[in-house]
Amino acid sequence: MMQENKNIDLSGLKETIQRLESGGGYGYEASPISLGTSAVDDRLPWGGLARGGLHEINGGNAGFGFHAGLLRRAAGADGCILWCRHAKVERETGLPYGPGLARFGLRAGQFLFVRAKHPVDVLWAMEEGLRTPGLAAVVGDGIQPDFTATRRLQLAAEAMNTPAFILPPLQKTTFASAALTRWDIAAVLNKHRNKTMRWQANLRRCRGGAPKNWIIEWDEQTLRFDLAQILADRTTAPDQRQSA
Amino acid sequence: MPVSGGTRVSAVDSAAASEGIHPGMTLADARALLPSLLVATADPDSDANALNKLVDWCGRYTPFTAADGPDGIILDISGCAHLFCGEEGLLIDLAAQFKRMRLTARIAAADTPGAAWGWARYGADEMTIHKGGIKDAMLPLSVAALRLAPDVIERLQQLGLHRIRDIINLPRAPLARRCGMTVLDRLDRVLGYVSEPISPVRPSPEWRTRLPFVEPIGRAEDIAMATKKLLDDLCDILGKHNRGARQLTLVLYRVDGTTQNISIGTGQATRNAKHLYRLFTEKLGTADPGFGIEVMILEAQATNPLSGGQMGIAGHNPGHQQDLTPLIDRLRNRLGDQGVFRITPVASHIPERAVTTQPATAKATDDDWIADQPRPIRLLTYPEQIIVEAPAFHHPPKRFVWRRRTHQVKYAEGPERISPEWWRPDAGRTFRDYYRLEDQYGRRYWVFHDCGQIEITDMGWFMHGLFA
Repeated sequence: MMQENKNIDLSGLKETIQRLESGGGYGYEASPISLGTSAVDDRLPWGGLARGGLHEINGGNAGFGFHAGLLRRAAGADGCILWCRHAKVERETGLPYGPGLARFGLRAGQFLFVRAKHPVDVLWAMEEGLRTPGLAAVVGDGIQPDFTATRRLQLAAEAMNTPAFILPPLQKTTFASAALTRWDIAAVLNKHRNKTMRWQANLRRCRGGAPKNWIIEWDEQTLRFDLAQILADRTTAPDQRQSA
Repeated sequence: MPVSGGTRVSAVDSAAASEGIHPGMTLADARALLPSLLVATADPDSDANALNKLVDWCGRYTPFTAADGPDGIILDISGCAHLFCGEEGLLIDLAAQFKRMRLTARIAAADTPGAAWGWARYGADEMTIHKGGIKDAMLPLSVAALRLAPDVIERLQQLGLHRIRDIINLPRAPLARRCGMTVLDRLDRVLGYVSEPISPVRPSPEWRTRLPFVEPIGRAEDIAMATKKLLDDLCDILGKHNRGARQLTLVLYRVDGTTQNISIGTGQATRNAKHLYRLFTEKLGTADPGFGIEVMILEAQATNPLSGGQMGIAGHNPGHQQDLTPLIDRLRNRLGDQGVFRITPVASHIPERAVTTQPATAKATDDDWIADQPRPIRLLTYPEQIIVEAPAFHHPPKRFVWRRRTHQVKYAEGPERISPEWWRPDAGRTFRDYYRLEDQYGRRYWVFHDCGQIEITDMGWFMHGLFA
């Protein structure tokens, strides 16, 4: 009897337990968010963008574009996205516009918007979302959380393996942050502007990885990021902080 | 209280009454009787407010409470008395509570509201209970106990009819002719020949649970525990009747005779006590126990049928589309109904009309936009006027100033003409020519020229959106 028991293969069971413990039992794989191009994915320590993590994306409208691409990569065509907006910055940055988001393969039915007057409520709503199973991504729009708040969000993101994104307001002061990555996105002069959307993506910080700089574009046909082929005529925009 | 003929006394306390002062007297007369009289200005509005608060407080005994005149409260205690060991127990408790609040009260319980009214005001004792045999019990009372107008009472007294026993056996027709139908009507009501429903101050809840405390509680943990207990009980009851709660109110009855209501709503009928408790935890922070809470009552104002069966177990719902209702409920309870919403496409060419919002509880739409033209990723809440330098009409600008910064236009595309929706009555009448502009840093903007403006090339330009 004892002999037989020893021979039982426990690896499958262990895998299940690990999956349950990491909160990944809801249909979303614990796999990282692939940007769609190995040139970027391989340079990130997770082999893509960590799914259960907090990511900060700066850079005004260029940043919004890059972020929309990431959302599509993270949520697919039917994952539900909780988008928490800080009402105060609406006038400055405008409202997320559905027809524009549709170019990134995101559908209207995927979004659940939250609009709060206080940043505290935005953070609260984000955390509620991150701790609810079944969401594909959670966005904090127009807030600038301090270290403690980002730490909380990071832990909440890990709990259910849901990616969280922070889009800070344009007028921001840099805070210490517990986010896994911080991206600065800048517009790039682009003669093929109508065909592709192209940005300079500057990975400023990355936990467990080195900062890196790419010029990447969004491919509307295949719905993935790619390295820009033409590197001519590139002038990057100055930091949005001074420009806005 | 100033009325014609000078300031008059509107109410007196027992000490003043024993000196012979009564309501209706002029103040001068009262002062002549008792020079040391203490006078305060009557404030009927505040009195009414205080009475209404007391009516709310009385909800701890029964959900059917109503103010009765300027100085009375009427409670329908049918089916509630057993909670206080019978009617007597209820009245003793009520009297004790009023005494503690330093309120002078006369209390009576009877089979009909009319009889209770009469006994409370004209009975011999401060507390009276009458079960059955109303007719005999009412006989010695004054006719004033029938809730009659002063002139009717006066007429009855002129006829020598002072007590109910005097009129109760009189022929009805002549009595009605002499004194009006009211007398008979009131008499019938008192005796229970005619039913008299009382209209409660708050709509009576469909379902409620109640939790009294031996000692008043005040700690947040205790309130939370009590809420949990009430929710468990209520959800049990709802489960037995296949109902789910849509709207719940937790009423805290404080020692000092005041109440506080805490309400929550759900997007879908539910009797999941855990979920409902989470909704309450958000708001329990606002609970103010004051000097202590003696009774907590949980009421379900709105319920929907909810068939039985397994309540969902978290994590056992396969597939991507998980039920987000609990999350939406929590968000809505904290941020309000306007704070959580979905977006839906609208078939319109006007950019700001292409999106509409709908409540978060609505079904997620399957519609989508037709992406035939590039659209910006952000749309400004209102188009913002920009200063442009345009070479000619129907030509894109060379340079523009937006939010006090000058942008050199490197590339421009357009115009894309968007016509007004003439079939809508509130539509404008001017065309908009939209251009996509790219500035010297590669940032891309969506601006339009309002063609209805005077034909000056550099006027009527607006920034409307930002491209990614």
